[in-house]
Amino acid sequence: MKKLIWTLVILVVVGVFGGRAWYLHKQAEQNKDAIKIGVVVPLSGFDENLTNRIVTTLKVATEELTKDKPYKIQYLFEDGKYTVKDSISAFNKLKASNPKAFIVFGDLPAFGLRPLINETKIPTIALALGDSKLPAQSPYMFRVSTSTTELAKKIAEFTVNTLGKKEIAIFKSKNNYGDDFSNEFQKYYSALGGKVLIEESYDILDMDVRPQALKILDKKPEVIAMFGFGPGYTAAFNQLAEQGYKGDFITDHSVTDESVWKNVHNKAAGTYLAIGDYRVNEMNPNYLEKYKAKIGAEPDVFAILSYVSVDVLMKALENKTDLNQGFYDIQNFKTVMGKLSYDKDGEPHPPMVIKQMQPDGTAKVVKE
Amino acid sequence: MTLLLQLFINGLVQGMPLACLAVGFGLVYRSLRIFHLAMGAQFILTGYILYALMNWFNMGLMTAIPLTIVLAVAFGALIEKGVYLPFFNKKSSAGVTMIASLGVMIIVENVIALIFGNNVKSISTDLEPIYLWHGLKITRIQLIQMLVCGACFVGLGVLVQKNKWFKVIWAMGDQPKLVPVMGLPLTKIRLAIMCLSAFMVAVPSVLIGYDVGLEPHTGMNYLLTASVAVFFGGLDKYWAWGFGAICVAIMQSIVVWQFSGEWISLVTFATLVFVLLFKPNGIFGVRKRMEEE
Repeated sequence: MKKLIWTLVILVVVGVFGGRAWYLHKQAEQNKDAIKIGVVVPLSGFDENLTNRIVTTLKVATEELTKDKPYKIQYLFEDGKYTVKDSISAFNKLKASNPKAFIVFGDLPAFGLRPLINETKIPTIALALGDSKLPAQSPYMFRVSTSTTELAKKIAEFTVNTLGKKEIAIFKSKNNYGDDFSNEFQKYYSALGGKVLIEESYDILDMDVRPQALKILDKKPEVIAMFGFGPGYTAAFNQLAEQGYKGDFITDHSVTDESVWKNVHNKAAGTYLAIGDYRVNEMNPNYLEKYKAKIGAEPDVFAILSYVSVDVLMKALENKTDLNQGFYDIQNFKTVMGKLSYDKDGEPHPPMVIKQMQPDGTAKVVKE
Repeated sequence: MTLLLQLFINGLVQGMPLACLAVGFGLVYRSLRIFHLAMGAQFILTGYILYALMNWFNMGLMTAIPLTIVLAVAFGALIEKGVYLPFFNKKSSAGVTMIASLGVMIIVENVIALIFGNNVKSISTDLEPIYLWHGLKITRIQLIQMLVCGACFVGLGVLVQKNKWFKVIWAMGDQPKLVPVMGLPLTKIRLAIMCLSAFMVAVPSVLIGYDVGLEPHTGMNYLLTASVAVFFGGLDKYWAWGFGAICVAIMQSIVVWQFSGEWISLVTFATLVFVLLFKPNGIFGVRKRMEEE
């Protein structure tokens, strides 16, 4: 009896592993001629909704947009876990499959991957808003979004020139993104005659930021700038409102995130944000239909950026001899976030708008 | 000055749930000599049980809270029966048990993330009513946290002083072999300690979860702060755990008065290390003879 059980166990194990090996071999055969693109995204330990939206968009948008193309694109996903260490491991693993290009999510992983990108000379699309100097540090890195510098400048100008608020408090996340956004914002805000009364920060995992909120409110700012993300970002909105703050907030795209809005509810209604000029209605209708069926919502910022990544990649692939140059050749290229033109630093400079959050969670354009 | 006073009051309010958590940790560490890392898992699991009962089973808050606490206590018993007791019976070292405890913490944290996701989950998104007194503010949920956790802490403290079983529990930490020699049911006492600890963790967990929301990776933060409170106050005295918790919470709150929020952990823990250098057994620690150690 014992022998029979062992034999069955061994057969099952061999069957499972053998089947898996056969499946992988079959898939490799099918994708023999496909253009391989390595994708380093957090598949675990991060916001799984965000990962879902990126992965779904890359797959579905590519399927729809490459229908009439003579080539096939195959994405090889690896878990970067939004850490430099894991992103490097993922990059090295994917490198062995000879990808033609990489797509990396997050400013921190992209920053950590610079030496490897420079060494391998593989063009990389950075799905990252943070780190104002990110693509400039590698001739092979290309951003597909606005940078924090551009967003900070836009919202600083709006705060001083349109809102007329010259005394501000900054509440930022204690990380690369929050620091960078805050520094860039302060540069432009001060130049326009604005005064930063206080700069406070929270850990992105902080759920209780009341001490910092109290200190900020003690300075009586005209407006509060929220630069960050994570549970701390959500807590900041909730606890500032709880302590009686009724003034304006300015921020970035983070507030439009569905999981943030669900938790801050209407406490962030009225918040102004600088954001790319995203036009969901200009997206491929088949993609939109499939995306909504799978995710159950309209494409958000990261879905749009992923969509633009596919667009940009396909445009760059038109240069059959030098893909890297293909990215630099992209000028006045029409996308669903306006026209992109890559400069020598790999920045695309898309147009931006100022939006205001409505009580129903939608964002309405208030300034082009 | 109002800001300082407000920060002090906030610290005081935070100190009460922390005192309960410190008791949850201290009871297990003092009597079973286990560095109870799984307490972080108990803390987050309790909040998520409440969330699930309210959102998946449409229970009202007042029905869900007692059921949550019962389930949380059952989970504490499960940890004892399934993890700590088997290791104790095999005479495993404290280090091995601590690793097992860490394992429980990691498994629970990941299972929660798998089921509920890594995003913040709010039990309530409504604005809490605020009570004002001479310019000082306190929200309703903060007041409830302070009163309920304060009552649990003081209530158990009275029991610890009056009930003879707690003398056994206290003695167990120093001489665990004496318990069966005296004819007392060691496994039952161990189970009772774990259930009591789980209860003391569950109460602040539901209140904190209701107040600030839930996130699967915050358990370790609360666990570490609670353990620091126990060592800061002094391991051997129940009331010292509460004192340690209030000191730590106040310190974490008023640090912001002069420093930026990013220095909260650094300033707090540097101060605690500094104090422990001079009082290695904690503020109210009992100095023991060499042969007692």
